[in-house]
Amino acid sequence: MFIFSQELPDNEIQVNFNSYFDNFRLNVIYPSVNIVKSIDNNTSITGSYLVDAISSASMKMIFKVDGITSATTNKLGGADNTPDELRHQVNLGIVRNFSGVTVSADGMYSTEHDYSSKTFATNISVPLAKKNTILKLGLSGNWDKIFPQSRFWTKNRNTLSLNLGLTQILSKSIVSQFDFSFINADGYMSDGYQVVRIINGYTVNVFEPILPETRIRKAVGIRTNFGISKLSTILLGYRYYWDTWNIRSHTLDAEYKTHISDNINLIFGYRQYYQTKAYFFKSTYEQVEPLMGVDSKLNSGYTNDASISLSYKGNKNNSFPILNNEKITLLASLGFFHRHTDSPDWVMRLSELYAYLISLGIKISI
Amino acid sequence: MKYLYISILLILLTLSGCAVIQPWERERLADPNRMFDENPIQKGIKEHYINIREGSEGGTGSQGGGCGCG
Amino acid sequence: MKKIFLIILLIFPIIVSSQEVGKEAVNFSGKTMDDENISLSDYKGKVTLVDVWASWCKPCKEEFPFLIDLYNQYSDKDFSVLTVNIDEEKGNAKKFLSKLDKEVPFKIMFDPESKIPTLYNIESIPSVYILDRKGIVKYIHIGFMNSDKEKYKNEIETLLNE
Repeated sequence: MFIFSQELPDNEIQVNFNSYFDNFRLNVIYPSVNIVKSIDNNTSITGSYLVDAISSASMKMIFKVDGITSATTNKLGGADNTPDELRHQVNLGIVRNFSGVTVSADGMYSTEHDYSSKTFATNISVPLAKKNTILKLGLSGNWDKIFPQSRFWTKNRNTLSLNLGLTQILSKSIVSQFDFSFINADGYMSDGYQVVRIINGYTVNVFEPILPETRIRKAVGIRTNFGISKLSTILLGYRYYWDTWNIRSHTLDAEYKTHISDNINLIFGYRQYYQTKAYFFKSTYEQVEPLMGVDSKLNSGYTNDASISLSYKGNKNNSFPILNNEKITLLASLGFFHRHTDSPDWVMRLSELYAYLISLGIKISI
Repeated sequence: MKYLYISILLILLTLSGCAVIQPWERERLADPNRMFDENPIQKGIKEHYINIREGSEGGTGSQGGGCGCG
Repeated sequence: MKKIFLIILLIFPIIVSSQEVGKEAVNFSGKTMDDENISLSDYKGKVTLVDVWASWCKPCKEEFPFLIDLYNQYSDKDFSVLTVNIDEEKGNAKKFLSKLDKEVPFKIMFDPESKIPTLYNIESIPSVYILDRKGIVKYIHIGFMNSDKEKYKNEIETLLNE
């Protein structure tokens, strides 16, 4: 969100190569291309295309499914070096400025061989009091279709989200942002591949999870940016989340951002998250119950996330090609994510997930 | 619901006490590092993998929904 | 209900602009980037564009080269430009100017303590005041958009033809 003026986003192309690897033997490569281009003085169009290429050892397990992302194999017996799942996502949007008030509308379509998702989102942002205050209201609708390969049905999930934001300049170097989200989801809440195993003597019976068909999720967050010197900033954030499945969570966020030089910017980030479990969650079931869920996301536990990001803006003082182009910014980031769940995961039977994320990007002004 | 009302009230009270910072006093605030989510694309990438691994969503200033990750 | 109004009033104080269209521009003096004394009153008798800008202001990057073009187009017809830079450090303003591919033909007042924007109680950066030959404020522009370029030219031509 722009603090200063309700400017349109800069005209640029951003290409990112992102990758994710974890100890659940999941590898994801997800390149993305984003473009912003103004079509007149008050209007910009935005577009993006993203591909998730997922390969997972757990997909080769008995259910031919990845319990972490719910990605499935495209074909049985696929070669190890080929992706097991491809997801394509396309976004198109428009942003328009009406005398300082910014209005945007975005459409998104995501598809994979067993899932499709459509989203329409709209936002309005209104500056007040010499742009000391910015009010933002966002509304989005999301329509998902789930048609797993291992089942003979197609199910739907519809989600309505409302977001309210208030950004306030508090002093010459402190800015705060308050956010409230309300998300109402209806329909099929699982992914179609997770299973609940009930052991009865020497036999193992396999059932589909039974989850409530509605979920109302609410979250309040406050973030504050403190300028601690001319070159450095500390961002602190806290979020409280609660939902009708009885999950409560606390998230603490901290970032230290500093300009190492005119052209190099460094960001250290740390995030800690703690959640309680859904009221029906059990890691193992001894008998069929009215509600059954084994997804680790519904389990109690905590996560830690640490990251380091570096950006380099091209400048004429550099003699290397590309690095001397003022229109180019290079981006790199490295992240480490750890999740602890209070009981082992349903597929991998591990309580600790360790993930590494590497992202490389290039931003070109157009 | 009462927690929401209390949070809104606290925030309004905090904001009401602050002076208007004039446009010419915002040199330090103009630094992209002082902006929230100066790179929304990278933020989206991060939220994507976090939402797949945690049970919570929202309250982060981003538009919710649409990641297809339950 | 009364409480809500009270809170709104506390959050959004009433904004008063001290420089209005139709009134004589309040005079100010200071030093240029090269430490020369300069005063707005030096420009009386010319149609003058006064611009308040900063290196950290994004629209100023588009606006500044346009001001140079305006000066080059109209300076032989009794038109001048006086810009006021409000960067805290002169070095930042110089870096901004060095990135322009054009020579700056007009004077730039350096006002690191922001005395002039305070005096004029400006609404936004950049702010432009176009004065007639008598020093009366005839037009005010808050912020800058490329679509306003023709408007600036028409206004200057109107004042030059008065």
